Formats: sequence, C-alpha cells, structure tokens
Amino acid sequence: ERPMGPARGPSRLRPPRCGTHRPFRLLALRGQQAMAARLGAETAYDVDYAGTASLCNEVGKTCMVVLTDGRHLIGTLSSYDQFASVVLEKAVERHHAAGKYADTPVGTFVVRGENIVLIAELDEAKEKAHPALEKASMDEVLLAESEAAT
Amino acid sequence: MLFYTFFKTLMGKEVVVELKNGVAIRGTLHSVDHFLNFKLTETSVEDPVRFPQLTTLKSAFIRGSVVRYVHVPSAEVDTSLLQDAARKEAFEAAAAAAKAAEEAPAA
Repeated sequence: ERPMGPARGPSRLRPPRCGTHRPFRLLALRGQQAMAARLGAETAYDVDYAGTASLCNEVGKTCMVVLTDGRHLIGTLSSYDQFASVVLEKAVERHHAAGKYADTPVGTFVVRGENIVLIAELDEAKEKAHPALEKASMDEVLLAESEAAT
Repeated sequence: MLFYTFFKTLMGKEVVVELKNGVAIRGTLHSVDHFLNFKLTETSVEDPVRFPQLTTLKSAFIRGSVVRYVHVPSAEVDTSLLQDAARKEAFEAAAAAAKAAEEAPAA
C-alpha cells in the first residue's frame, strides 16, 4: 500500500465551479456589440442584424412576450437563441379584461420558440404617461375575464 | 429565398403585419431573416380597442411562423421585377430538378 501524499489541489477531473465560465451567449452578444462599434454605429440599431440576431438589442430590457396560447409574459430578456426561444427573468403574467389588468409573478421562464408570437420591448415612459389599462386586483380581472367569456 | 430578398428590399419602409391570432401591427421594417421573422420599430397596433396590451410597445420581433399577411406599401413594390424573379426561380428549380433526375438513374 502506497501512503497517500499531501493533497495537491483540485483534480482536473472535477467540474469547474459555477460562475467561472462566462455564458457563451454573453460572449456572442459582446461580439455583436463590438462589431457594431467597429462599424462606427451609434447604437446596434444602425447595423442590420438579420432576424433573431436583432434581439441582441433587447437583452437586459423589459420585454413583453406574447405566446400562442394568448398569455402575455413581461420580464427581463436574459437570452435568446436562433429559434427565438427566450429566457425571461422576474417574469409576470399579465391578465387583462374590461379595461383593467393584473400581474402574477411567475419567476424565471424558458419559453420554447415555437410557442412565441412576438417579443416586444416595452416603452416604460409611454406606459407611465398613458396607461392603456388600469391596474386592478387579480380577482377583479379574473371575474371580468370569465364574464367576457360567457 | 425570393420573399426573403423581397422583404430585404422593403427594409426601412412601413408595413402592417397581420398575425394568425388577428392582431395587426404597423411598424417600420427593421430587419428580416430567412425564416421570414420580422423585426419592426416604431410599432403601433391597428386595433387598440381589441388589443390594449400592445399599445405601449417600442419595437416588436415577430416570429415568422405566426404571420398571416404582410401589408406592404404598393408604391414600393415593382410587380414586373417580382414576376421576373418568380419566373427565374421557377426556371432554376425546374432545371435543378431535371438535373437531379438525370443524375439519379446514372448513379
């Protein structure tokens, strides 16, 4: 039996700690922004990124995601992929009926692209100035929703 | 490929995208990709009474699979160019199919 030597540090076979690797998508985003800067664009909007890549302008912003089943999710757009799947953080589900709306917090969502209708950046200034709907309690809105359905 | 090129010629113009769920969104076409996903800026909803939630949007990324119609400004469209492009594409598709049929029995 060989005596065990002194511990020599973390074994290479152990997986790295969480957070030591930057997410690949963040690197891609930085690459896109660097490209925009190199092309002398004021904002990334000046560069014509095709389709899904244009979502890089919306990362980190409050976005509304409308789903095919009619749900409206509002949250911070964390990341996206080529199928327009998204990760929404601090998401709320917004129900509306009869001129009122109510939000339910739902946490972090990963939404598969095939269920997404549209991803839109919310204009917070416009919303504060002219709210289209008034905030109400969830019970009121659900009641109004069921009344509208019948 | 043809409609991707067609929409690329319309970048920067105002279009109205009508979706399969009935909502129509007007905006300036910012970009399009080969899936025909659209990115619109300066968006507004055509029927804010039916869809009040969508009135305060700054820009919209619309997935291609949910689009029903795209209303384009007729002044921006050259129909003769479109017809030529369609004929050319049909010709190339037929030529490619004929070539594939020729090579298949030979192989």
